[in-house]
Amino acid sequence: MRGFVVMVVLNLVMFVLPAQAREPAEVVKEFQTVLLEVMKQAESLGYEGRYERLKPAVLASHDIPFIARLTVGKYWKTFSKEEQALFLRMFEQLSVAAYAGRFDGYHGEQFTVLSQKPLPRDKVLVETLFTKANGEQLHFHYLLRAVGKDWRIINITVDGVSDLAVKRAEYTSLVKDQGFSALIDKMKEQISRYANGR
Amino acid sequence: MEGRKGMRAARFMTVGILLCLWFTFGCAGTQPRVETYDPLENVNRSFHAFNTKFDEIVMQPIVDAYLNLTHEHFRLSVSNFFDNLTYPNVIVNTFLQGKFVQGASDTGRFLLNSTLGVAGIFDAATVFGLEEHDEDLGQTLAVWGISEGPYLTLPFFGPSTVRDLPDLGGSILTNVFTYVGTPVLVAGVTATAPLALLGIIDKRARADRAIRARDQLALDSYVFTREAYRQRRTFLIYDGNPPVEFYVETDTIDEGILELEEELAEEDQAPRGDAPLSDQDESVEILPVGGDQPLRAVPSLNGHGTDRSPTSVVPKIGHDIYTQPPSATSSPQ
Repeated sequence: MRGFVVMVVLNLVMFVLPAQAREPAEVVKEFQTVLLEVMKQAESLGYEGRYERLKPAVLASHDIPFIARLTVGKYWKTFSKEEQALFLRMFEQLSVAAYAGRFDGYHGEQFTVLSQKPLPRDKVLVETLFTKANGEQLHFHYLLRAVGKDWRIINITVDGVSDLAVKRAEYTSLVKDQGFSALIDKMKEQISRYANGR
Repeated sequence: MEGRKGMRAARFMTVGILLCLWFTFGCAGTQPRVETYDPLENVNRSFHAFNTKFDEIVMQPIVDAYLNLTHEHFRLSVSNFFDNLTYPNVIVNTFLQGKFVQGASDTGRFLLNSTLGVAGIFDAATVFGLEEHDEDLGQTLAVWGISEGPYLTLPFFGPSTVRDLPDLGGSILTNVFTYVGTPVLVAGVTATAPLALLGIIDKRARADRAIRARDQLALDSYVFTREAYRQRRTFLIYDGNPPVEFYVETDTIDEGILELEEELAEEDQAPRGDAPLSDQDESVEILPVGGDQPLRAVPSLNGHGTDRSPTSVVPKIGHDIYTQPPSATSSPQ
């Protein structure tokens, strides 16, 4: 009986009561906290474990469908409905795989949120500092857009290099020169590279 | 005699080609930053493939051995030494960009590291608060209003642009090694050759992590290198401290976001027919600013303040950079 009451309360909290709106910086901070936890347990979790732990965190903090459509630009409309669905699925897998594959250990790294700056058209820029144990620092600038009453990351710029701009150039060039199937093949290839630790 | 004539002809031809490139692209005003603007892509791709192969067969094994056999402290000293040797290039370009306070600090840095830092092996200047800066002729030309010109991939040297090309000559002229090393080499002492080789290995070793990251992340290694290089250069022109709009308006990203948001809004509205605008987000206030761009209230970090800054435009790196010159302050890279 007590279990039933707990379930009802939990369901109420999760689905009925309105979700507390998060600050953009909180969205980034929550994601980075999970990322650091996964990095600390990288070895025991293994690639699969890291992937499973990171997937919900990536989906809760990034606007994956929006980023995916941006990376292929005007070519999105040239894809059939099935191709669009396949591309979105592959992009989601690749986004999680990139984190799970690249953040595969912990050596005393730290994330610090430095600032949150509002931008036109419902955008916010959150600046964070990634500090390695040897003191080396990298500036991560997260661009977030408002999604309903919450915020989602749509781009990460690391020391001046925008992930979205690079991906958009790569993806559009691939579709233009080699077509949709080549793009999907390359994405699959990359996912398996991350899974195999290469 | 024939050989000298041949060399002179080759030199004239090289200068001619560079001038042609410059006048065709470099001085053509602000180029529209479309995502595929890469008129020399075919040639570049060939050189990129050559460089990648050369790196894989020759440089990577040497760098792997260097990284495995040497201690981190040794590698740091080697990097410090070569940084100091080439630092006059930074000093000259800092002054050429009109940053006189930074130029004085950079001169002090060079003198301190050359003496107290034992020919640059130790970075004594940083301890005394004289920060390292990153300037070169390509950045100076950008500050002077020269546009980027087409992207170039140079055999052995790698990514560049027409605007960055003169720095190859400039950095040789300002390299201490040119004045100390060459006479020694001519005199028959070959000790400078291994030193020059060490300089190349050090440069490649420092780029090792970035190259590995590229190999892991890139779907198309050439496009990845081109975009990362161009963006990184823009970032450096702003001394690592670009205006906030830089992060939204990189190349065509801002345009792409706007288009996609409009498409999504249309898609949202389509099945609902005449759904009122307020259905999309009731917390939103739409203000007409500078044309048809709606602006919305954005909470501050503490959730109390709002900001309605107008849509601004990042000065394109080129002729119109002077309308908003990059800040003189630098962040260490």
